[in-house]
Amino acid sequence: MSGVQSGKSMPRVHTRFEKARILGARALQISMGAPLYVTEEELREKFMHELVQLYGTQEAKMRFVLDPLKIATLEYETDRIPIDVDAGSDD
Amino acid sequence: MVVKSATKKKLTDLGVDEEHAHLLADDRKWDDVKILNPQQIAEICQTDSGTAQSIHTKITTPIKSGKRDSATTTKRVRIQKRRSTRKKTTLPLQSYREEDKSSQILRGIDTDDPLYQQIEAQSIKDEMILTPRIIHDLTEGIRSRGMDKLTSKQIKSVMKETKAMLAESRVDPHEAVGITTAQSIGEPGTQMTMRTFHYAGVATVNVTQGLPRVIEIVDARKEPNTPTMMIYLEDKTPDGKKALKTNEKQVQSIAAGLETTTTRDIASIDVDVAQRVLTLDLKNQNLKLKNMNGREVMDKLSRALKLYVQADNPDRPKQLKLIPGVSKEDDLAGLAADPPTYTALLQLEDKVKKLRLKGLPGISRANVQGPDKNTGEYYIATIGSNLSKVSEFAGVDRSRTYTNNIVEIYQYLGIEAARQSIISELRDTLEGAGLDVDVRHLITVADVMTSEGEVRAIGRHGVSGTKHSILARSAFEVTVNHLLRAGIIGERDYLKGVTENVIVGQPVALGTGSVELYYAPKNN
Repeated sequence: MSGVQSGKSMPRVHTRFEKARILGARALQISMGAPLYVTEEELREKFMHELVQLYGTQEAKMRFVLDPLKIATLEYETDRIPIDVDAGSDD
Repeated sequence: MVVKSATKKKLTDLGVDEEHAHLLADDRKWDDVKILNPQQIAEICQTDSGTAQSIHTKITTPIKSGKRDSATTTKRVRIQKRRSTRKKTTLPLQSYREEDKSSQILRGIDTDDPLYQQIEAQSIKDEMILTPRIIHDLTEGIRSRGMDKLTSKQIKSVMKETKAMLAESRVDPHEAVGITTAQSIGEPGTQMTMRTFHYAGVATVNVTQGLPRVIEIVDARKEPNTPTMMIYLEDKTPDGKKALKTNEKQVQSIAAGLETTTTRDIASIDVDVAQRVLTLDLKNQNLKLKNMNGREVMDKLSRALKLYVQADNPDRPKQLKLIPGVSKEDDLAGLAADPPTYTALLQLEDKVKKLRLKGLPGISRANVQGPDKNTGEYYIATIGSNLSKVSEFAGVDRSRTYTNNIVEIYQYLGIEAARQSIISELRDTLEGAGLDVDVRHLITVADVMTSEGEVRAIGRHGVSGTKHSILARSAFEVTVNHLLRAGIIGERDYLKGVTENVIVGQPVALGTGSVELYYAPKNN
C-alpha cells in the first residue's frame, strides 16, 4: 500500500463517490480508536451549536462531539486525512 | 440410454408402430437402425419374426425421391438458376452540404447579435467550448434582464459561473447511469396507457402509441405494428417544368403511384370452371382513380403471369380472359385436346388475386395531406413502409422522408441514422403521453442498442443475452439452460458486472465500489 502522492499543493476535487469512500474509511478508523488529526478545541468550536443544545452552555465548554462521521468530516474539510484516491481503475 | 427422437419419428413416419419405434430408437441413430436384420429387430422389440420382418421391410424400402431425410442431416439443395434481373438504377450518394447542416444547427439563433459575438469571443479566450445553443441561452437570459452589452468585469463573472455550472452538470465517472436510465424510463412507463389511441384529426392514419410503442422500439422489432411514412415532395416535377409539391393534383398522382393496387381493386374476377377460363371485368371508375387504363393492366398481367391475355377490345379492353397454360396465341388451338386442369385454374386465380399491378410493395395506402399553413405544400402520409423504394421514387424529396420503421432506417441509411431514429421515436412517444424524460436517458438506451454496429434488442435475444457473465444471464431469463451449458463446458465467471456481484455478495464496481484508497501522508 505505498501509493504515496508527492507534494500536491492544490487539494484535488473528489467525486462524491471518492469523498464518501474516504469519509467512510476514516470514520471507521476513528470509531475503532485511531488517533485524531484534529484537536478537541477545533471539534468544540466547530460543533458548538450542537453541544449547547445537548448539554447546555456550561457543560458544552468541557465536551466535544464524539460521532466518528462528524469528526471525519471536519478532518476532511480541513484537509487532514492522509487518505487519497488514485485515478480509479478503469476496466 | 437415450431414445433418439429423430430416429423414432422417422420410424413412425414409415409406419412402424410407436412402441417398436421407441425401442428401436433407443441409443440408435437412423444409420444404425437401417443395418439391423430381422433377427436383431425381433430381439430388440421382443416380437415374433413375422412382425420383425414387416418392420424390416418398412425400414429398408427405398425412400421416395423428394422426401426429406429427417433423422440424418442430409439436405437436398436445389440450385436455383438466377432469374434475369432488371437493371437496378440506384441514386448517387448525396454529398454532405456544410451550409445545410449549419443552418439546421443554427436555426433560431442569430449569430450576428453583438451580444452573442461578445460571449463567443470571451469563451474562446477562456478556452471554454460552448455550443451555439448555450451561447444563445446566455444571450436570451441577459437580454431578458434588459441588458444589451456586458462590461469586461460582468462578462468575466458570467463565464466563471457558466464554467462552474457546466462542470456540475456533468455526470461523475462511475455513476450508475444504466440503472438510473432504466428507472427514469420505467417509472413514467407505469403512467402510460396500454391501449393504442387513434390520432385525433388525421382520420386515416392510426399509429401505435404509449407503452406498446416503447416496447416495440426497445425490442428492435423488424416490422412495427403500424408502419407509417411521411413523404415530402420536390419543388418541381422530375422534368423540371411544372410545380410539384404545391400542386394537389400532381401530388395525388404520385400518391396513386405509390399505393399498392392489386387486380381485385380494379376488376371483378370470375372463374369459369367448365371452360377453364379466368375472366376479369375491369371497373373503369376504379381504374381512373388509380390512374391506369385497361391496356396497362393487360400488359402487366401478360408479363407477370407469362400467359396470353385475350381482350374484347385490344385498344380499350373492358374484359380480359386468361387460360392457364396458354402462353401464346397459338396455344389456343391445342386447348380442346389438352384442357388445363382444375387445380391449374385455381392456382391461376390465386396468383391473379395476389398480383400487385401498381405501387410499391408494403405501401397499402397513401393519402395526400395538407396544404401546410406556412409552405403551402402537400405531403403524403402512408400506411405501410418501404423506405428504400419510396426514397428512389421520382419526385420524392428523399432528404425529408420519414418512416417509423427503425430497422428499415438501419438497412437503408445506416446505424447512426438508426440510433437517431430510436432517440426521436422514444422522445415522441413519451411526449405524446405527456411525460418529460431527460433526453440523455433515451440517448443511453439508443447507444446501448446500437454500439455494436447493429440494432440489438434489449432482452435475451439482444443485449442481455450477450453478457459475458453466466450468473447475470441466468438471473435474467431461462435460468437452467445457461447454468447447465456453462457447467458442461466449464465456463468461468469473472464477477466483473453488477448482477453477479450482488448474487455473490461482494461490493459492486460502481459508485463507491469503484474507489481505491491509498495512504497519502500530509506534509504538515
